[in-house]
Amino acid sequence: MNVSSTFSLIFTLILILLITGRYHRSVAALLGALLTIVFGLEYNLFTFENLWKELVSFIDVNAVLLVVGVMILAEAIARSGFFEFIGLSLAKTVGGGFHRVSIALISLTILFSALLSNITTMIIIGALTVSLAKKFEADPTETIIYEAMVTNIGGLMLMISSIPNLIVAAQIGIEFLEFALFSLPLALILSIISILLIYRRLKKFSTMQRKIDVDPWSVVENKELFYRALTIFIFVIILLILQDLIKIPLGLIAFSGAILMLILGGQDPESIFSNIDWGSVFFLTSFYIIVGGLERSGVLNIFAQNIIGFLSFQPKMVPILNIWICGLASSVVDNIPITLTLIPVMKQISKMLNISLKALGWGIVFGANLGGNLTPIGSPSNIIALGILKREGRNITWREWFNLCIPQVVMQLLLASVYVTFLSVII
Amino acid sequence: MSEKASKKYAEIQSKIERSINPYITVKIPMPRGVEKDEFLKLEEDEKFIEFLKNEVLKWIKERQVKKEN
Repeated sequence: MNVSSTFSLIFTLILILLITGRYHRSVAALLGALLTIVFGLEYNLFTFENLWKELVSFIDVNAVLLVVGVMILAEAIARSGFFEFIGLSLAKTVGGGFHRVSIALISLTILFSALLSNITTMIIIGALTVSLAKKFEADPTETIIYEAMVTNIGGLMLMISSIPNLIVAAQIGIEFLEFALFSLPLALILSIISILLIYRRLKKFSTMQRKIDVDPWSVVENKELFYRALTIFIFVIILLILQDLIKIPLGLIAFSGAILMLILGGQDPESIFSNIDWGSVFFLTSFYIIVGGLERSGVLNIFAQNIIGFLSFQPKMVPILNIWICGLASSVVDNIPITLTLIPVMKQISKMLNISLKALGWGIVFGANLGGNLTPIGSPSNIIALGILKREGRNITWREWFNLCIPQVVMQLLLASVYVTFLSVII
Repeated sequence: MSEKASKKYAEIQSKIERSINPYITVKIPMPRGVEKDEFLKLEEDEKFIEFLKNEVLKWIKERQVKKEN
């Protein structure tokens, strides 16, 4: 067996493990990294003398630091009670029937998921929804499913909103403001249309009117820590916005901000660390090694050549195809490996077909984020939403999921395709 | 949902639930001469919970009347 066949097999094996969920995704990726090292040595792709140096060169340290830094900052701000406080304040202000409160919560989900991981967003919003539904004696099922769906729209908003965004931005060289400038218009269009469609549907299930008599501060355990965490978080966001001027790598800004939060935030670092998704960090770094092996063994080159041969007549379609391929793949596999694998391929396609690399990158960002909604297992927030509903005694079938989500997701992917075509012209 | 996410959800849910739909948890030790299994089942017994709720309401109302007098 030649080198490219061996590495293609390793990649296929890891994809199968990820799709079947036989092992935790980080374990599957660690196994893939180990096989890459073993067979890389066997085929002389690496040498024992330079092994560590070469492996580190595969990993985008900037992206990893950015991911870890953002995770620590988001965990600290979430622990301060800030998001529950905002949720309760909004629910109290909106009042009225449960459908009105649901729309407020769904809108808030989009904003929260722009700053937090989809998992944390869904846990906080899900808990708020279940408690408010009890108050209104309403069924929270559809609201929770729609909340899971819109976390992936929020995941488009900023560079820090999801891991694929961070990877694309770090590897293609998109700055914080530039990212927001191109992603926010689409995210806002999708948010408005989705919220209008959801409102039309939820209005049918009107419930009794209730006054929500709560003190939003009751969910904040320590006001001083609340203000400290908020101040540091805002400070880091400002630095990220100013990154173009201050010229400090994004990863260094986010990681320094995280250290500042751990020192000055006043929260117990141990409890922050215990809630960080270290599995994703292992997964990300291991997958960098797998992709490095694929690149070194020539597999990605063969893949890119085949795609180029196929698409050379229609180069303008590549960003749109990216959206749909990433979208469909993200509905069954984690969007991180898809993003990591496609970026080096897109770099080659960009050179060979003379297409803007950034336009190709945007295709990956839109597809990887939005495609997660196609199936109940496509995104971690979907899994959390179904878990919350199960706890409440409601089992959602795939069919029910498809009925509620497919029309909206297809609409979102179509709009993203139109938008990326527009971006291809202007960038 | 993973065990970690489930634990985090339960923690946040209980914090929010207390704010929106306030409740209290009272610990009642097992009285002597009562069968353990029978006693523990009371925690899930809807009739018993309803009875306790009514007793609590009665107690609060009596105290309010006393205060007003």
